[in-house]
Amino acid sequence: MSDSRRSFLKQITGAVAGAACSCSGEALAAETDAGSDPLGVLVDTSLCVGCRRCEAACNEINEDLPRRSPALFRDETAFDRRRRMDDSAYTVVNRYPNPNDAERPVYAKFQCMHCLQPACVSACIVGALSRQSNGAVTYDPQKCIGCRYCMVACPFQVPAYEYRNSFAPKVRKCHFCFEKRLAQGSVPACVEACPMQIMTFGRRIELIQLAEDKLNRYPDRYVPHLYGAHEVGGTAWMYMSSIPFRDIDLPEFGYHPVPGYTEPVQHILFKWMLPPLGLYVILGGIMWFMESRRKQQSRDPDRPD
Amino acid sequence: MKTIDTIVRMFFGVGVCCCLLFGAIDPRADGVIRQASAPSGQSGSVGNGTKPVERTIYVSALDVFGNIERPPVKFNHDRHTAALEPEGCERCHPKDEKGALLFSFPKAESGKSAKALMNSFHDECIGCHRKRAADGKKAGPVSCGECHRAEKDAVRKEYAPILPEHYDVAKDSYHRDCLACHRTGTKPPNEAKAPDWKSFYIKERKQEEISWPKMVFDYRVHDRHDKALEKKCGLCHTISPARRQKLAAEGKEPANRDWLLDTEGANLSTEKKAAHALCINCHRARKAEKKEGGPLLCGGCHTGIERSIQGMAGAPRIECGQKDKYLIELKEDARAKGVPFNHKSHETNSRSCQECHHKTLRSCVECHTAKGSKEGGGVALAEAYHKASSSWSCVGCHETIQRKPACAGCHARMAKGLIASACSTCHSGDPKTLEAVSKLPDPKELLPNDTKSELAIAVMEKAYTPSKMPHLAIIAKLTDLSNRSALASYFHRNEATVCAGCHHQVPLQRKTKTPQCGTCHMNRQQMEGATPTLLGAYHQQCLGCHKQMARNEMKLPQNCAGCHEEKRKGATD
Repeated sequence: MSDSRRSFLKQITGAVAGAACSCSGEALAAETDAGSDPLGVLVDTSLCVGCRRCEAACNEINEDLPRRSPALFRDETAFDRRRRMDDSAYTVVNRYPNPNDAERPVYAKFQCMHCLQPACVSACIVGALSRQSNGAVTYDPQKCIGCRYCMVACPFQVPAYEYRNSFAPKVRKCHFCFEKRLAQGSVPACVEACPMQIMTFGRRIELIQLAEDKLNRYPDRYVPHLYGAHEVGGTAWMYMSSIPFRDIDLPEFGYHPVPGYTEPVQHILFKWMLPPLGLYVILGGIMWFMESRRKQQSRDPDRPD
Repeated sequence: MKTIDTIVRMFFGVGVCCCLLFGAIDPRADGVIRQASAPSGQSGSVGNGTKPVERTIYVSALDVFGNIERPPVKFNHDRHTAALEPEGCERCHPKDEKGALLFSFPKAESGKSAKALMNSFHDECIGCHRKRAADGKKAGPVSCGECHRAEKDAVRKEYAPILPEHYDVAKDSYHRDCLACHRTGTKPPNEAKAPDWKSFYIKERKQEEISWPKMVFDYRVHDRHDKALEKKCGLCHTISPARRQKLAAEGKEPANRDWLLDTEGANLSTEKKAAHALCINCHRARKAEKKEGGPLLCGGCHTGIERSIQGMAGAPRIECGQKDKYLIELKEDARAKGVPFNHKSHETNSRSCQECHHKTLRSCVECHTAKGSKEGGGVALAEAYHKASSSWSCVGCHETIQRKPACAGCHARMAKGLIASACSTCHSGDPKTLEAVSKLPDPKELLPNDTKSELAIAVMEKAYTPSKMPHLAIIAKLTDLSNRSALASYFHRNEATVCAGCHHQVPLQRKTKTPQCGTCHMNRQQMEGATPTLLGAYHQQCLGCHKQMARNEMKLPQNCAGCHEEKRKGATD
């Protein structure tokens, strides 16, 4: 059960936090530098037909990705296996069997979810990953030292690493078209390219309203849940689906932000200069012990030096 | 009492006994729509009428035993039937005082507790195995582990929602995904405490329940019985003494309107009990008289094959004193006008009376009273007719039909449930409306004279050649589909109904131009909110409909190249 890991983490967090001192456990660094009205995208997977034009558009706009010919994205055999985002693609479309209707499989597009409280940003020790005020979680290769903590931290396993690049490997993940399109006031490339318009781009708060309207109006069409509204503290990209979310590789997460499990512990350890003070106390103790022993030895005349 | 019921239920689930299949059903001969798939881990194949299905039953999976020390016993009834054929069903099953077989096990009940029941199972099974071995016959195992074998599927526990008996998951429009919610955090009933609301809805799926597919007593099967039994309805249809008295008091003759009413108000186990005792004893008796009789082996009846409505063709109408047409109306406190109802056409569009009448053949209002009664499961009359989420209601069943490929092209994109403007379509109060149904006119009569038969759509001109949409042919096809269906003809009253499938939210009139798609669905820059742009509107509408309707004979484009060819870079630049 997925609870066991979470409850384990909770216990550990609680134990350490409790041992250090009493703490609210809610203080999050990532919360402070993020805008209160982020942008988002609502993905209605029930409409997706698996044309992969979003993948093509993504490859086209991101010139630092390996160049692929548009014809390559028309290859339907790509659906034969479940793919993940890697160092050559920021977004992938996968095909899933439809339990309600075997003849019409379900397609779902994935990319970075752009969490409201991103675990990757929290885990990054050099600040290479950061969350912009409009909600995009972006990456600065100049700062990155290649520790790949972000890859371990991400609950959706989004960041990929350029293992093939020996000299200057980078972490690779969707950046919400932050520089090229959002900053210019247009929508992400994949959103614009989708011929079925399964993606709606807008203010996240409005998208939640829109999704709720849709779920209420067509109760037979969707699983009554908006994925990403609350999962891991909320994500900018949110999903609607006609089949259970676990069947389209969207795991059942709790609503607590991932950094909420780790940051209280980290912050308490470094609060009130605890580590340096602790170091002084330990070193001082050793010194005092050694000193007292030396004095004792010097007072003992029988022992030769 | 509960214990006995449970055992009886289990053993009737298995069905019975030896022997040939007289007049074996050959279901392949007519429209078979569904073969119930054998549950994973179950042995045997689906029956083909001549070879019985070999399935097993988990004896120890019964409620009464709870969690047992050893793995449940996978009991293979068919193998016992074959081995004990000379001795007959009587070898294991008791008889009642009239000499009719009761399909329960074990024969000798030693008590009602789980322990006593276990002992009687052990005594009977092991005793027989020992005796046969001593007689030098082929015999079953006697040591614990040989019957209680740990198998992968034997220990599998599934949780299923507790649903009303009349609920059919396959027919439900809205709750197909109940288990998405009623799954996590579920505990077995014995562990769940009262405040855990999910435990109210979930029970452990009994493995015996999925061992055998349901027997569908459709019009064809009924007809076969009707002919073989020379229309002696009373042989199967019974009337409870209370009802017989009531009818006698009213001076009426009992009619065969009530199916097995002596089980009225009882749960499924007793219905199973009654059905098995009635059917198998009759089949056995006829075999003894060397008459044409029904199957005696489990797989003979529980074939797992369901005939389609088309497969019912040729079965004569069951005469039950029903009228062809009714005007359904409340005598008092009616809020709307009566509904003229064509009972006959609904008979030809169903497979058995039970599809609407549940287990009785009484009229709806007798159980579903205006305010709801215990007999009707608390479902009031208005709800029984209108509840869209139930396949038993008029509205719900009609919505189920809308999911057929022929209808789904338009209806899948429409909101479900009742719309206020539709009330008077049914509630006309005039029986003549049934006759007044007219077919949709030829599209040429409706459309303006200058309508092009083919439209070129060029919203992706940069990358693709314009897509040619056969506008007239589409309307003609939809009109034809609607006119061929009696249901569609009744409800598609407006002559421009099929146009509204695409041209939604605009007034439609004969010989009048309709606003084009681009009037509302503009370019992305001009659009607000969730209304798709022209690009999205075309793709969602066209491809959405193609995906829904492309089944079997209809071949509709499913991918990019089906509608528009990609322009080669060299050719355009």
